[in-house]
Amino acid sequence: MTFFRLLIACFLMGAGLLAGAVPAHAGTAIGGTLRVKSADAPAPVDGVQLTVQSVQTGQAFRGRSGPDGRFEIALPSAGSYRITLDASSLPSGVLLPADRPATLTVDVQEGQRKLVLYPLERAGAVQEQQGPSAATRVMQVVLDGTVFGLIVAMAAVGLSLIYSVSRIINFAHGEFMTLGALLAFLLSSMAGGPQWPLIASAAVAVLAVGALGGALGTGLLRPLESRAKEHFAILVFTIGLSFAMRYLLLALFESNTQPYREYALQEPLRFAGLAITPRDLVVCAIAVLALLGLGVLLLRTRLGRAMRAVAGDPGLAEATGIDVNRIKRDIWIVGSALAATGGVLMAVSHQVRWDMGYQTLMFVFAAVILGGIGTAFGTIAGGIVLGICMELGTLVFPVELKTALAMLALAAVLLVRPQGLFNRAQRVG
Amino acid sequence: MRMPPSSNSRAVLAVALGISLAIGAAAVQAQPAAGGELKIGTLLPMTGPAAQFGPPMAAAVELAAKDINDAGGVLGRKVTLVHADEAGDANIASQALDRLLSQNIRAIMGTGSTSVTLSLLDKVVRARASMCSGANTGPQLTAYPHQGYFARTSYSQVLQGPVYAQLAIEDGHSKIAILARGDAFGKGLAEAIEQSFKAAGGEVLATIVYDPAQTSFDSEVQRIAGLRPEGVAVIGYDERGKIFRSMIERGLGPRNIGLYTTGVLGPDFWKGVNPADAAVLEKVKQGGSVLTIRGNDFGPRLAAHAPGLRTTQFAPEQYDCLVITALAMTAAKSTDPAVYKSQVPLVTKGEVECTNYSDCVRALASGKTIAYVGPTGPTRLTDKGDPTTARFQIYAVDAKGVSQPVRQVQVKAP
Repeated sequence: MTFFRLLIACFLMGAGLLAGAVPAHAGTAIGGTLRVKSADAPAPVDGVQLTVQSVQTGQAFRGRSGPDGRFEIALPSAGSYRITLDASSLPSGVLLPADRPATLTVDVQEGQRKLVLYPLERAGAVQEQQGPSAATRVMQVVLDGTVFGLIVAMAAVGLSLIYSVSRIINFAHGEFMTLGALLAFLLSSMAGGPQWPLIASAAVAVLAVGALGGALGTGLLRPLESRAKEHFAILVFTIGLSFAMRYLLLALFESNTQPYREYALQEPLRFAGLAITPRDLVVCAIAVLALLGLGVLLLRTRLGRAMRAVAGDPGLAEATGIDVNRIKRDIWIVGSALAATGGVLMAVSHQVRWDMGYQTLMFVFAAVILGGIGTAFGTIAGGIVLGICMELGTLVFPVELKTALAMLALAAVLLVRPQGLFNRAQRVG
Repeated sequence: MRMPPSSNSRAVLAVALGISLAIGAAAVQAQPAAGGELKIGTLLPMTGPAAQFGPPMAAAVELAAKDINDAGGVLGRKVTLVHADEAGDANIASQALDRLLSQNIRAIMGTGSTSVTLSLLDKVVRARASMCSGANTGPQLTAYPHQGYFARTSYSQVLQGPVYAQLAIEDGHSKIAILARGDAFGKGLAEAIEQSFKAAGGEVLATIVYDPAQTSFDSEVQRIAGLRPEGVAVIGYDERGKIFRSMIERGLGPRNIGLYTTGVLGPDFWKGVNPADAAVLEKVKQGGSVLTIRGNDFGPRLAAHAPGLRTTQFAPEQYDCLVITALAMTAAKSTDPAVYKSQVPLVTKGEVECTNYSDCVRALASGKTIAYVGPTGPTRLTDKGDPTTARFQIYAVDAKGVSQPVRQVQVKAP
C-alpha cells in the first residue's frame, strides 16, 4: 500500500514537472495552481504537499505543486472529496491567510478536472491598498447623487409648474420624458436616421414635446376640466394617457436599452480621488443653465410674472387683464419641454429605454412633494436633496434598499413637515 | 353614481349574459376533439425583458413540429402550433395561458422565465395540462408540487453555478463579486455560484441583487468597484448593457478583470455598451446552449428553418421539449396529459438510445423502452422533470463583438 502511494506520488511529481507541456490527465482529478500574490505578477509556488481524501471511502491520494505552481491529483471515480493543503510544506515566508480554510470539500464529476483555490500570501505582506477613503467615498456619492438629482429636478419642476396653474397632476409626465429622449435618439443615433448632432436633435425633441404638451393642456384637458367637475376624472385620464403612451412607445421602438452615439462610453475625469464622466459633467452644466434660465423667466419676464399671477389666483389675474388660458397653455409648453429636457439628460447619463420616464416618475413625484408642492425652486432643491440622500444611503445600507430608504425618508419628512422641506421659498403657487 | 334601470341597461345585461353563456358553451363543447390535428401551444417571451430568447425558442418548436409531422405526426395526428406571448409578465402570461386553455390546448411549450412559469403552474395543474420549458433554470421549480405536469430540458442552476465558479478559478481569480437580477433566475444562480466558488476555496466579496427596472445601476457598480474584485459575474438579461458600461467606466471592464455572464450575448450587444467600439466586450465569457454534439446537425437545420436569428440560446432545449412531449404521448398512446405525464421522464432514460423522433417512434412501436438523446444531449429527466445531465457551451466575445464557442462542459447532477 505504502509502495503504491509512493508510486503514485512519484508519478504525480513527474506529471507536475511536465504539467506545463503535457495536457494533464483526461480523467477525473482535482487540480489547481498555487500562486503567491506579489506586487506585479503572481509568483508560482513549488513543492507544496496536498492530500485528497474521499468522503465516501476514506481513500487518500497525494499530490505536489510543480515549478509552475500547478498540481493535479488523479481520482478513481466521481464523488465528494476533501482536499487539504499541508501548511508545513509551504516555502518559508509564504502562508495561507488565517481566514482561508486549508481543507476544502468539493464534488467532483466523472471526467472532470475540478479546480480549487488556495490564495497564498507573503508573510507580513502589507494588506493590499484598500479602496478610497471614507471622505472621498462620501464626496463621490454626493457627486453621483447631484447628477441624478439635477435630472430629476428638471422633470419635477415641470410637473410642479403645471400643477401650480392647472391643479392637474400629470401622470403622463414620465412619458413626456421618454418621448423627448426617444425623439432625440431617433434623430441623432438610430441606424438609418438622420444622424444629427445630439444637441440639435435634443432641441428639436424638446420643442416637439413642448408643443405636444401645449396641445394636450389646451386641446384635451381644458375641455375635460370644464365638463368633468371632479379632478379625479382628470387624474385617471392622465394615468390612462401614461399607459397608452408607454405601450405605444414600446410598440414603435424596441424594448432594448440604447445609448446615444455621441455619449456612449467615456473615460471618467479624475480629480482629488473623485471620478465623473465628461458626459455627466455636461449633463450637470446643462441642467444648471436650464434651471437658471427658468428662474430668470419666472422672476424677470412679463410672461413669468403673469404665470405666477395665474398660479396665485386665476380669477384675480383674469380681472387684471391677463389671458389666463394663454398663460395656462404656455405653462403646459414650458413644463412639458422641461420634462423632455430631463428625459434627454437622463438618457445621456443612463441610456434610452421605453419605460425610463415611468421608472423615474416616482422620484419626480417625491422631489415635488419633498420640495413642497407648487413651489418651483423648492422642487429643484427637493430633487437634488433626494438624489444625494439616495446615494448617501448606499454607503451604510445595502444598495438593494436604495429606493426603499429614499421613500421611507420621504414619508418621515412629510410626517414632520407636511408642507414639504422648502415651502417658505419663493412660491409660484 | 346609481343608474336607473332602463331598457338600455337591460339590453346590455342581456348581451353580457349571452356572451358569457356562449363562452361557457364553448368551454364545455371543447372536449377532446377527435381527428386530424393535435394542437400544441407555445407560451414564449416574444416581447419584454427576455424577448431575445423568444424567437429562437419559437423557431425550434416549429422545427420540432415539422420533424414530427414529417415522421407521421403523433399517434397519426398532425401537430399544429398556436403561439402565445408571455411577455415576461405574470399577468400577460396568465391571460395568454387562458386563451390557450380555452382552445382546448393541453400541451404547452414554455415559458421563458422561471418566475413566469412559477406564477402559472397552479393553473396548469388545475387544468391538467402539461408544460415543458427549455429555458427555466430556477431551482425553485424542482421543489414545486406540480405533480409531473411540468418538465424542463434546461439545466437547473444548481448544475450551472459550478460551471461559472470553475471558469473564474481557471482564470486565476480568487476574489469575485456577483451582480444578480432580483428575480428567481438571478437570485437562484447567484446563490449557486457563490456556494460553489466558496467550496472551492474562493472568496465572494459581495453578492448584490438589483432591481432590473431601475434607470441606473451606478450605485451597485460603485459598491462593487470599491471592493476591488478580480472577477465579476453579472446575471441578467437586457439591462446588462447598461451595467457593463457602468462597470467599464469604473475600471471593471473585461480588459481589467475577469467578466462572466449568463446567456450568450447577441452579435450586436456591444452597440448597447459603446456603439463606437465592437471590441468593448472582448473576452467576456458566457455559458450557453450546446448546438452541435455527436455530429448533430441541429444548428444548421435551425438556421435554414429560421434565417437571421440573433441568438440560438435555449433553442435546442425547447426543441427537445416538444419531441419528448410527443414521444411521451406516443408511448402512453394518449394525448391526455394526465395519462402521458408519467411517460415524460421515462422516454429519456429507457433501454434503446435514439436520436430523432422517427427512430424513437419506431423503437417504441417494436415494444422497447427508449432513451431520447436530442440536440441538447442526454437529459435523463428525474421524476420531478429535471435533467440530470447538462451540457454547456462556454463562449468568449471576440474583437468583433461576436460570441465564439470555446469549449463544452458536461455536468451531472449529484
